[in-house]
Amino acid sequence: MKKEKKGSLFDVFVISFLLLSILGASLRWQQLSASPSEERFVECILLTRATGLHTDTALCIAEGDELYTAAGEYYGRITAKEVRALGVRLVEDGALFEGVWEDTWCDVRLGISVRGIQQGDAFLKGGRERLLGGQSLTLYTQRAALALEILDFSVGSA
Amino acid sequence: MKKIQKDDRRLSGVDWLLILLVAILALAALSLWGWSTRREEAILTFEYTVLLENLPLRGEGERQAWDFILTGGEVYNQNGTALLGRVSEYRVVDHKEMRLVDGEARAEVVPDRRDVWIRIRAEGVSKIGDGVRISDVRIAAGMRGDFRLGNYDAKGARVLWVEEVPS
Repeated sequence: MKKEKKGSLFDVFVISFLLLSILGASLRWQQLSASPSEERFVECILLTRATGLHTDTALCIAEGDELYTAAGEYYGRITAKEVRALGVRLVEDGALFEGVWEDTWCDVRLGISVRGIQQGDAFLKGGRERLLGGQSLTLYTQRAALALEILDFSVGSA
Repeated sequence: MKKIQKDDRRLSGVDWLLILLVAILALAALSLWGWSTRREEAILTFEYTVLLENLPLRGEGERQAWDFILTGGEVYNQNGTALLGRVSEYRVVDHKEMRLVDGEARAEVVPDRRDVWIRIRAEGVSKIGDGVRISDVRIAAGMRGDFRLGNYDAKGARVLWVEEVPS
């Protein structure tokens, strides 16, 4: 008598696992092929400012430092650094007085190189995130946490 | 009848092959994950400086805020779950504010206020993209944090500087 072979529960589990893996891989492939091609990416230099930094903190930032988001994703690289004395304004009896902090507090201007695509006047970092003048960014180097404001950006070539 | 049911439950050669395949794939994935997370991590000794600003000078015979900070004292996070190092030294300096002097804005010493610079030595993990961490606390210059410095409750202290040092 010929015995009919039946699939065990384990076979069903393994086949489901393999099918789900194939489905997951194909979805990821579709997602990757839908994202903009690397060939269209160009470099953009952001001019940013971190204000009210202690001069010791400014020493922890250097040209060439890589910048990361709080989630640890790579954001860009510092290409230029300029330290300026922090300006302070005081108002007394309706009059405005200006002064600068010497040696203690400062403004740091950073040039940051990022990659993305240009769409008309807009620049999309990584092809997704639109960058705007005046926008606030919180980025990290290995040693420093920076609250930055975008002052300007210029899109270069690939 | 019972014997046939028992035979049906037995794993065939194909089943064992599939088990082996899944086990190999799982091991490969685990070892790749472990390798990629470990290769970028480094345990390092580092020092960081914390600034407490604008502390009021207390009266004669009273303990000043910095009397609670002890050299060699342990530094913890606010809820005491992570040891963030030990105080290696601290300095009390004049507190300055921008004030109008003779029609000019100038940084002037405030007589009844002090700032305290505290240098802390610690061991942590450095990982690219994740900075320097002790437990799950990130230490970065420019950030503010709540610390327990020895016996002093230092809320909103400013981290000024972080640097790796030889251990």
